[in-house]
Amino acid sequence: MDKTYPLVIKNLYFNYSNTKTNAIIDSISFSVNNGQIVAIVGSSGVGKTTLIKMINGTIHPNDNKRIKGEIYIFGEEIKRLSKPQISKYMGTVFQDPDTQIIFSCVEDELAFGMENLCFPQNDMTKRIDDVLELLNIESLRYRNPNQLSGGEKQLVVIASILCLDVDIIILDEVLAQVDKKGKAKILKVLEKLKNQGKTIIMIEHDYGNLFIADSVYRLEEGKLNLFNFNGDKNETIY
Amino acid sequence: MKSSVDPRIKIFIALCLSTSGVLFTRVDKLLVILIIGVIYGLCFNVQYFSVYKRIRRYLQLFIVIIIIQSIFNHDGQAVLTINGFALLTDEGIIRGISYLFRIYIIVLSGAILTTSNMRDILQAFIQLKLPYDIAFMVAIGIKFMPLLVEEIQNIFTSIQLRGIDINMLSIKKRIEIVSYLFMPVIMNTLVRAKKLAISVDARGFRAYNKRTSLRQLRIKHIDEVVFFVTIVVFSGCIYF
Amino acid sequence: MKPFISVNNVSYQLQNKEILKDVNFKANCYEWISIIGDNGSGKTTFCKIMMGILKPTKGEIYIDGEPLTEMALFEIGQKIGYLFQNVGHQIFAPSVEEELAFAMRFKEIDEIVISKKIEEMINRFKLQNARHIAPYFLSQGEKQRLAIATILLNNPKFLILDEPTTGLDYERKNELGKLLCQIKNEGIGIIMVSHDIEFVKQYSNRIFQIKDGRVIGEE
Repeated sequence: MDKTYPLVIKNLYFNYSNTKTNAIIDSISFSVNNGQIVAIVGSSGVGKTTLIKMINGTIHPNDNKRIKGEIYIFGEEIKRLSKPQISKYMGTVFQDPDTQIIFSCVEDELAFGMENLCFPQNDMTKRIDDVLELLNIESLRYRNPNQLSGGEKQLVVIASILCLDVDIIILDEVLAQVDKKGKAKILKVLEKLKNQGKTIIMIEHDYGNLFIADSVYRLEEGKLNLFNFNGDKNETIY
Repeated sequence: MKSSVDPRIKIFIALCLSTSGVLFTRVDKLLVILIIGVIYGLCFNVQYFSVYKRIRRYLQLFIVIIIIQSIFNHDGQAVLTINGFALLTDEGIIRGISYLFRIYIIVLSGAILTTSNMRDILQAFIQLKLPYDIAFMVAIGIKFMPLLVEEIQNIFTSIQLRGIDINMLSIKKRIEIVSYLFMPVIMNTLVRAKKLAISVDARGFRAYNKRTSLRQLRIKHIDEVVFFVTIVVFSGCIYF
Repeated sequence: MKPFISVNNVSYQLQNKEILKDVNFKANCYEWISIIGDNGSGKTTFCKIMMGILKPTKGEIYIDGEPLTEMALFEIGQKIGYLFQNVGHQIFAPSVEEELAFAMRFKEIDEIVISKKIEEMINRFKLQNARHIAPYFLSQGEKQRLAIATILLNNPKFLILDEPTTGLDYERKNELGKLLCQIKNEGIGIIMVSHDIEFVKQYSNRIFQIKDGRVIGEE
């Protein structure tokens, strides 16, 4: 297996129950390289979040015998990785920032993951400095994240993931509750991260946000196919 | 003094206050403990007005508690008799008041802890080698409490917006309305909890048995003074 | 035509912060008004003030000529239907059928009438496959259709919708848009608060913006 690829999926299969005829994930194979943004689209309930949960280990093959196929993260099979080990490679940001933010100070929020993973104190301070600078949110360091705008909150959550020095960032419809200003800020940050070599997988409903993706896939009836998106951000498909 | 006192000292004070409140039975001692608690609260800048606003709706309940305590306690002189039955006695009233003081002392102990921010209280638990997981769970519970209250209010509002005049309903129907609140609140809470669990898991929560900290709490002179004063004050209370 | 909703010089303050300042706003039936604004600009607050859920610190609101301050929530609900930002706050029965029957049963309406109305709504809002399912297990789109159905059972003259497109994909958004247009054409006015500019532009008759506590129109 080519160890330089951050994520490789081979013949992934998953069915919620043995009685259902259509698997929610039906023999999916794809790979993502460094410095790439991949978008996944599809109707509500089709299985995009399930796919994400399988990639980030929330639905783990060691806990669930219905998963077939392989997922490799930097060449390591996911079966051999525990959830804490996976969290060193990838972080996930979800749609609702209010269920992800715990503390009343941005700095504490950023430190949380590093404290869980026993980073030394000096490293933590340095990483927080670096990440705040990268995302251009130094002014938010001592603010209460619960009082920030939706876009700023999502940036704080993204920052807390980046502090763990992850290489793969998964975004599950993070722009849904964010206004125009906030979206522009976040999309700019994603471009920056891509240029730094990070791998980004984003689930999106709004086709207006797909212009930054290098490739777009559509999940339909368990299959993942390349989606012919012509790149015009004003186009409404359908 | 305010909130610059180390949260470990505040935990100690809260523990002294609440333990005294539970162990002492004499109403005069309980009053003294309550006054001590109020003074600590003033020093730590407890927002008495917002605490009062929160417990205001329960005041009637407290009065009922006093009366019930009095009714079931027949020691002492009768203060109110009905048909020869001593409904309220002086001892009974004193018991009831003691009970009320206990409740206020415990509320104050909690209020003192809220004068430190949640992260600092958690750090205090870590440095005192107390179980972090439990402290974290309690902190999360407290954090989401206002959201839960807002949710209940929203559901209640939407029931009324369906054209139901609650004031015209019988007691039985009102209880039925309340029962309709349970399911959505439980479901919404479970969904929220699951999302939070996935999010903290993704950030390595409980990955290892230990954890590091961005900041360490350090005892300052003021903390030593407050600790010493607290020992003296509560020893005095026990002795006298 | 006299406006159905009339907001006159309304201000709203929270913890010494002025969220809404001297807002003047009028809305009529048969039209779809959208109000756009950034996160935290006061859109939901404005909705709740028009619904009488929050009381303005200054100013007056009239619903169909009646002052809002003299109306109880249950009376307001019969004139204006409100779709919460989180639809989970307004569905609470154990099944879709019971959800539709809920208010009618409390008002002691005849069971035959209730059954008829339930069938009508299930057909109109395409909830046939969901009739015995608990609302929490429905998709976002189905939950919304159910919530709108329960609101319409009150025969309101107006609908106020708070961010109805959140969580909907393109197909469901289009379905929702068509449904709301149908409702508008029946004479029910719509006020929608949203940050989904595309959807707003596609369907609204008039567009306002909340900025710095003021409602500015028309874009």
